[in-house]
Amino acid sequence: MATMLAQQLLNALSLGSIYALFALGFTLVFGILGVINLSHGGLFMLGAYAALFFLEAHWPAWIALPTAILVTGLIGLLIDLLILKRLRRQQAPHLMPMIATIGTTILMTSLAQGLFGAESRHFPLSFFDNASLTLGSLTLPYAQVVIILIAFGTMIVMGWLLKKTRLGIALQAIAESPRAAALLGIPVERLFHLTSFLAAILGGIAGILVGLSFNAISPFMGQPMLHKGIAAIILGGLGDMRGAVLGGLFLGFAEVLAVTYLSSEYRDAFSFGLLFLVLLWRPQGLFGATHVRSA
Amino acid sequence: MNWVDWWATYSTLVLSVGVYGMMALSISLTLSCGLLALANAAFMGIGAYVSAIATTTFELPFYPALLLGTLGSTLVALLIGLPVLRLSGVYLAMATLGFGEVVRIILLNLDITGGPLGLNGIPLLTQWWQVLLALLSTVIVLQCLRVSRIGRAFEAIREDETAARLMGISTHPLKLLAFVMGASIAGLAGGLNAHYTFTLSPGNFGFENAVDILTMAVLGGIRGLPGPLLGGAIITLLPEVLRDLQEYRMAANGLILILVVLFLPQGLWDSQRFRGWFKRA
Amino acid sequence: MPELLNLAGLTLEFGGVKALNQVSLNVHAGHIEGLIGPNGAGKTSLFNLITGLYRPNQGEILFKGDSLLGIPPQHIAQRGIARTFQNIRLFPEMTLIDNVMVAMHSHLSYRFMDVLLRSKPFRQAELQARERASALLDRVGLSQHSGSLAGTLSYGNQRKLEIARALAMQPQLLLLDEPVAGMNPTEKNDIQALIRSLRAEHLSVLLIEHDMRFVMELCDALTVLDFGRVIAQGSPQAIQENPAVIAAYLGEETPRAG
Repeated sequence: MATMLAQQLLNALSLGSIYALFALGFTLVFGILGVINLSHGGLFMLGAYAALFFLEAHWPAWIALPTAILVTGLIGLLIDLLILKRLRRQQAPHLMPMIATIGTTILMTSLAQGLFGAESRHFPLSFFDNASLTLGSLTLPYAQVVIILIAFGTMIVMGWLLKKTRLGIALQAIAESPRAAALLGIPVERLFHLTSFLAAILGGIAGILVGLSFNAISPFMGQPMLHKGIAAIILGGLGDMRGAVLGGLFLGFAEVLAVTYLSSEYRDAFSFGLLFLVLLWRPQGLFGATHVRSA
Repeated sequence: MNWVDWWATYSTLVLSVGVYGMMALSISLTLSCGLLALANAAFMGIGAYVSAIATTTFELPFYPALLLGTLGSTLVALLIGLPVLRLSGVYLAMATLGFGEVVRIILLNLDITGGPLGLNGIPLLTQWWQVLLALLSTVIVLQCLRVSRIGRAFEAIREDETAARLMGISTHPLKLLAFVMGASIAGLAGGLNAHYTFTLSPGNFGFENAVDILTMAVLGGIRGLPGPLLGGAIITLLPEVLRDLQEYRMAANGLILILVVLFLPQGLWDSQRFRGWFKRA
Repeated sequence: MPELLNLAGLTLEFGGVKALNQVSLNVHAGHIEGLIGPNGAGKTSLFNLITGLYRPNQGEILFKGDSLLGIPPQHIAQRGIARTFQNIRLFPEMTLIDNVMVAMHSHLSYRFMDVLLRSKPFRQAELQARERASALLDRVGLSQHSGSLAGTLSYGNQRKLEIARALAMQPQLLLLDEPVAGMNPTEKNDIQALIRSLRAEHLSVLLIEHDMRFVMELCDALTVLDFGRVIAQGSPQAIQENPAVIAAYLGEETPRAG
């Protein structure tokens, strides 16, 4: 019984850490650029497919995966340069970047479906298939261990970047007020590009991690993940980095425990029911006090 | 091809142009008062399921069933509109997307809705003239609103909500009115839709459908009533026109969205732009 | 003399900083009261308090003897207080006539069913509203633009449209926030004449303005704010000779000519 609980908690931790990583990138864009980037789910899917593509071309994993992450980052940057930048210049209302990024998601999904087919795929990495560590009565599959390490490692690096570096301080200033930041001599537009790049990288890493653990690479993987991301960042408070991570982890635990102790059918209903209640009761999120930048 | 064959092949498509015209009008109503509410697909689903259950399980006649479907979505909109419309901007968009997911998941898990399989064998009761009549009535009602104090207030709320309140406009009841009316239109459209498609499944009314409906309104333009109708027709007919592209068909959809947002932010039907043409000529 | 608006001891804080500190002032029925002071003195904040956009930390606001505290902006507007904005807030994508008619919203009493049936009360009310809106546009000299979009107007004309829109609310008290900023001398004279004619119709006006000549010629009484405090109150002549006022203005160079 205790072993089962421990196993479930481990599952929850690995699922939650992927949600958290995804949500962190998602909320980063909202916090800094002030837009909801609905192509984040598409970038997540792209990361997984890019990795699949390079691995199937027989690149070694240590080159293939970083290259895939970089490619995802560059596509994120491209979306910013081609679309979001123009909309910023036009001072378009909230709706516009949302619709445009829905467009890019549909485009990416459709291209992935056309190029790779609609069926679910998995990485050709036999290394992960069945291997596991045994700790007493607890089995730790390598894949899970790797996911948790990479996800938390990435989040720690991001946390350091945002809190301790000059770059991070500049980004915080932009999150407060882009106009004031520009007056202080911060190159706002360049940092917007960088933010889009970094967020896409986080999305891409999350995509690859999902590919490592589940046999779940499909053109349509982005959309359910986007829903989780939306739920996580609303739970955490829109634009709040720490809140997004907590929200993602919370969602992972809530889902795994709901499946274990309630019924698998209501897993999604649980997270969205919760999300809905939070929105009605505490629109600023459960974790942390966010201020919302008036756009 | 003679008329009978043509109609046998294309009747579903033609009826869909009408039904999605109503859906595009439904979302443009909320957009026109500045509400980024994305629950219209869910309201369509509620209308479709309620009326289909009425005609199949309870064997009610068509008109009472349609009425029940419309009332069902109206009532739900009233209930969730009261709290949800306190939110604005992206929060409202997120909340209504969340609501849409909740509806989809409920449809997926109830017995009376047939679970993941959905409903089958729904009688084919919808006639072309009924769709036309519903569409025309919607257009007439919305046109009446537009030229009244209510329509002007919607527009004022969209452009500057604070200024509108300082003009003595009680914005909350008006937003609720737009939201609930949008849901009624969507519920009626859903009921009509259910009775020419034969089957319903929860996936028909999820995120993708919500996005499609939004696309129709934005593509057509929300500054007038012709815009959403045009957008609805284009997005409904596009898959048919692009059939040769097969799986890249959706890519064209995505590309259109991006290009419209970037280059035609007011949509295809922009009366101001047309007026500009005439002035220059 | 009856007091229409009565502000007593209003204090407004933003994060510990006092934007307004114990501000009291009265607007008498049928008077034009001026509110002057250097930039950042809290004048617009005072308008935001009166119209219900902000809530004071302390103090009382009475309009016709009733407290306005805690009443939402739309209901304050319906009670008869209309305003214009320093940074113009028109509905730029609506026509001029629609901008004016929007402000008649709460005076148009037809019902939802009347709209759908286009009944006689509806058509009559709309017709009258349109005529009244045209008359108001005429009064501010904008009738030739009535079908254009508000956003296409020149700066001065946008200010005039804001006044017409505020008048459409049939207010008893009109709050004007820098009504002649950015206007040329001819336009300023037009606005001065307009405000005088409003006073003749027993409308009360509270106005913020930097153009001293305009304020001195027009106002019945003045209140001077500096750093959120009232530093002087009285007739234009008394204010011009008040040493505290002179010091406050010398502190920030010469008053802006507008």
